[in-house]
Amino acid sequence: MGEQWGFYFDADSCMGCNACSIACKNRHDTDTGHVDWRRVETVSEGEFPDYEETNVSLSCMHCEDAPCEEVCPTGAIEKRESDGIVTIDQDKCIGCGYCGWACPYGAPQYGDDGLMQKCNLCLDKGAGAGAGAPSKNEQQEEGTALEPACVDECVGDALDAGPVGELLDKASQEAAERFEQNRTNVIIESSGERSLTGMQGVKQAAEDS
Amino acid sequence: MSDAATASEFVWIARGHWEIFIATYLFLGGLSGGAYLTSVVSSELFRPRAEGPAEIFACEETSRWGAVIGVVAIAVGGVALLSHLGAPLRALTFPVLFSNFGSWLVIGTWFIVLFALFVTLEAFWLLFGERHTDFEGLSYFPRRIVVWIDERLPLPDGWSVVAMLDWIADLIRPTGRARLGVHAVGSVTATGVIVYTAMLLTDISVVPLWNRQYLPVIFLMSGASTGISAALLGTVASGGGLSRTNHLFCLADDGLIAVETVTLVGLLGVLASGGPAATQSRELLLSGAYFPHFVVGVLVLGLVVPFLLSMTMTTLARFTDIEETPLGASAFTGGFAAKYFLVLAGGFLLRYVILFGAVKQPLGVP
Repeated sequence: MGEQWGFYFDADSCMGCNACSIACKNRHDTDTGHVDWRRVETVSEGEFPDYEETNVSLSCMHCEDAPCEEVCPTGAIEKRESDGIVTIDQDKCIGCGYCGWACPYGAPQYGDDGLMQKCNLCLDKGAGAGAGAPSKNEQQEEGTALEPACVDECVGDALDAGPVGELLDKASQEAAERFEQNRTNVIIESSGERSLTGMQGVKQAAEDS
Repeated sequence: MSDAATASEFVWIARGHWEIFIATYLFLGGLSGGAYLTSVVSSELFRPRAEGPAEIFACEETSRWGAVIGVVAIAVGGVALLSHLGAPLRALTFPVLFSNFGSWLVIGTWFIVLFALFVTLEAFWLLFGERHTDFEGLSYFPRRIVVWIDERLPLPDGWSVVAMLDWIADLIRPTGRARLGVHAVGSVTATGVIVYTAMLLTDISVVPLWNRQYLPVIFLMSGASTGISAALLGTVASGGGLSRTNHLFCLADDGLIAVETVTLVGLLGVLASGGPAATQSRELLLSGAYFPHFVVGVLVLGLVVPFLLSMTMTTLARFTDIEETPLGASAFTGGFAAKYFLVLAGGFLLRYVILFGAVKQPLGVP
């Protein structure tokens, strides 16, 4: 089993400029408008003057137990052993939309062709690319690995990508602990009182219901 | 689809991956399974006990309507399902392509395939064969269509498609225990189709409205209820509105409606104490955008009114002779038709609000 790849996101450094989502669109030539492999959401709390906003850059979390993979009827979605990246084989996708419902993060997107497409951690360029691509670990060894466009264009260095082990080295203890509790392959840094906890929040809310 | 996503303290997740075609499919899938079950119950339980030509006619019409409606509903539902897919033709290669047997979409597909086989055979046996050559009743309309085509086909003298179908139907028709076995297995697949339409949704753990404990019961009750209503609406149209068969099915339907209503109220109670998405769904249904569809359409017109209408007619039929009068007979026939129509409309709206009232758990910020 190869080293798992993932994202690192520092909410304190994100200014919500959307450079990441635009860079992603440009690299993968995705449909304009409704297809966003990466998007920036803004969460707010309180009222002026006690008001706080947190920007959150979201894409596929490449979950450890990817719910999209579990419900996909054709096995088109694969959690790769070689690098932990969740890919979609559009040649096997029937465009049923079941993965869109299953994903807690809204990562699966549907283009004009009705087929699912989403972040592949820039395994390759182009819409729907990534399935069958060589392992990101191999690409890195060969020096052919693309730095994800979102990371490349991030103005405030809020985003990073790489083997999870390396990302954890730069993460704070709190972020590392949060990651260990919720293995989504995204390490979320936030020193504010309000911290997006990803799967934890989802799980908690689901349990509450 | 973000009418619920107005609160800013959470990251609300987009929904709306399924549109009205899927609501239609979920409705027709349940109705189809229920109509087949109605057909089997009428054939196996009511027909052997039926006395008199009118009662036998009502039983047989109910059986035939149930099977024919079952075929039409699963066929139309299948087309609705395929039409929403991004690659519908690719989906038709499901025997090879659908490899994830842990997905309810795959389990459901096989239930549908098996059920479609059983319900089509049932309709075939009830429409064709030696004893159906002197047919009467509206439910024979598929046979009439085949006869009409047969008369216009340029076949050699002595050739007849209808005669051939009659011969094949009698050749493969099961009798005695074999027939009971076919009905039993067919009923399992029919129930599977009804329940799967709920399991498909409840497998999505991030939508609290799609509750695993409540939704399968609600859909099972609604599927059986709409199946009875569709089949018996046919029987009423055929002139069997005042038959004992219709009365008994109508009462059975009332029981299903009662259980469905109680379970729906239970689901609303669970949603009240759920997380933010559960609360959003509940508000959407009870006071928000889907109030007319849910409260007026599903609860009042689809459940309460049909139940009260049926109870009123049953009481009047039991304790008065009003059903015997010409005016009373017309009123009862119209009343039954109205009840079944309302149940069908409510059943569709139920699927609609369950789909469109679904809200995904937002990303939490503690």
